[in-house]
Amino acid sequence: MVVDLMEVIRRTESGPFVEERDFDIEVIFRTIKDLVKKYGIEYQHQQLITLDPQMADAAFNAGLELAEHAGMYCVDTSRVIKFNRQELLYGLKAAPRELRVGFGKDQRTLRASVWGKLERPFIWAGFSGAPLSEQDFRQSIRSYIKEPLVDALGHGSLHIIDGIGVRTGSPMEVRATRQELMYVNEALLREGRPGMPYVAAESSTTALGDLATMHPDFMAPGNFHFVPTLNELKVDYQRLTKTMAAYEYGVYNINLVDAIIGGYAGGPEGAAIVTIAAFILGLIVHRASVSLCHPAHNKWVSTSPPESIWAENLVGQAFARNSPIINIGDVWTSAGTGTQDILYEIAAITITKTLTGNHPHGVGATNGKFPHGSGLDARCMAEVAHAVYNQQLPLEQGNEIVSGLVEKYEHKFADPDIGKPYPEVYDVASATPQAWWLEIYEDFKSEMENDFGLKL
Amino acid sequence: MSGSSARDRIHQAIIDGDDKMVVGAVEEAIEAGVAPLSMINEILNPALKEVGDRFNKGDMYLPELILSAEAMEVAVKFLQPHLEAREERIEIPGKVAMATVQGDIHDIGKNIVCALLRANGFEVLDLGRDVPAATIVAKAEEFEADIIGLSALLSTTLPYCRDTMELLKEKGLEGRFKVFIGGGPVTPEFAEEIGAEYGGAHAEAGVTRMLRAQGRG
Repeated sequence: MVVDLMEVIRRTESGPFVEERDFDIEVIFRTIKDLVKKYGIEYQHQQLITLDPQMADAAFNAGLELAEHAGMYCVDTSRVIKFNRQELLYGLKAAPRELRVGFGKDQRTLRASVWGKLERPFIWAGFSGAPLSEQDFRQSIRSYIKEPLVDALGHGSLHIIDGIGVRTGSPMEVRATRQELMYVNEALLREGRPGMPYVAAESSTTALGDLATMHPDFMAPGNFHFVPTLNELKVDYQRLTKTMAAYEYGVYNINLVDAIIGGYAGGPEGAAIVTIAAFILGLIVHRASVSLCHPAHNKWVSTSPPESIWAENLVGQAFARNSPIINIGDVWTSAGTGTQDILYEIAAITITKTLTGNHPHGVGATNGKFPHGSGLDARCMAEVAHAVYNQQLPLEQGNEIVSGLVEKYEHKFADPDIGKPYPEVYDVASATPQAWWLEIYEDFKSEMENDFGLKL
Repeated sequence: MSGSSARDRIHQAIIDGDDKMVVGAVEEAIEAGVAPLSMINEILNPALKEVGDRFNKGDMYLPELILSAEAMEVAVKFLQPHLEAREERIEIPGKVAMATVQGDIHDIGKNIVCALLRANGFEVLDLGRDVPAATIVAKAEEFEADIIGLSALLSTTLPYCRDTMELLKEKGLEGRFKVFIGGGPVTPEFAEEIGAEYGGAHAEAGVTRMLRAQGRG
């Protein structure tokens, strides 16, 4: 029943041979289409937070069935890494429910959510997903670490070093990732939070950067890095190299799953099912300690469209009810920092995550396209999550608030307000928000309390 | 079988992405005397266009788009000898060589663009993912493409888009192709900086811009 990493590698060579097109269409698409029908799973725009627990159970069973039927496809060998039901269930049983991370006064506990019991949210903050210059990285990272409610850091990547662009697969991935870790460690020391756990090595897409930083001088064991599951339910040797390097060194793997809504899995129902399957498979293939949910709309990328919010809600509830594992979820917005819209998007996503068992990770402002993010985005995420926890917000009320917030921005995705770069919304020297940006945030807090009954 | 029921069956086969049904229906339509070119222009193309439009509205998904495009390809292949016998040719908006650039393995965006281009009548050469600039340029020349489409999901693969533009210049092929770039990190400013056309924020926008560049739409 136990499948170790070497056995996973063995199965990349011995599994059944399938053409990639057939895996995408005949296995993924057709199976999911049948499962959506069989389990009666249906997207509901008026109920973005699912109030019917049976729907979450159905989604879990559909995801488990998909994981068993499809397996994980290895792109490099065109073979499917298959697992039987007992192996998958054992993977779920063996998954961590609790991690003690960081050290000293910055040590925190990251817990799996159990349905019906709201846990204290674990706030994972930074300008996630954003490619930054060295100057932007060094300046903006402080603004996130300064936020007292932030438990862990995850601050994007460097895309240029010494004037040389960082190309995928080039030696610059080594240089950039090492430099990224130097800046992370420097900033944590400077802000007096040396023991804060972090996810890093984001400046490298290939395994090069991960390998280059797996040394205590750069990334200390006990921290985190991402291993993406490729769309949908695929892996390759680069990703498996990342997995093995971190697993043997002592860094936690986060299985990063960005199911595409409108892609091979179909609509939001399919995106939820394929994410559940990817989480289950990732526990074995990626040796994942944490699973990250980011159902991405094929046009808008962010996690704020209603279809994405609904899919993530279902994934969270499915695991919280059936087999709790540690889940986090991306808070990615179309709008940028310094705008009212980013606050609405952050609130809608965060309320959903906190209520449904995914700890918030973000904020990926402007989907990481522009360097328009700041620590106040993370403050909003943290204060919303804590307000939900402190008030023990019922699912029904959460659903009403989320629907009201989504109405405020869902017509703006084609032309979002991208806001301003970090140095325009913060005083760079002190790493504090400009008065006008703080005022927008204070107005938003009043609105949340007066119009939605959520006191931040 | 009447002409109108053949029309309905062909239309439905494309919508359903059913390559077996489409061949049967097309064969029967030919036997019923429907001209192959009008079958393409009046039945097959509008049906595939409908699939593309439904995808853009979120009513259909990528695999359905691919299956419909595959059914269309089978139908056109079946009709080819009939077209040649009548010395007729299919009019297309243009030929596009599409690639996800070197270092980038994220090809869903490119696959959506390819499927939507086919739904809009383009002839598409899909070069796949992680494709070096030299291969893109050589294949585009060989294919006699009108347009080169470059897709990049990562900021760290944008330099490979620039490589393609540089190589086109070095080979004296600047202006030979219209080059469009798209994907998550691509901005209009970056496209302008490297001398390419911005494909827009998503696949639908990219295809609209390529149609416009070819004098359609």
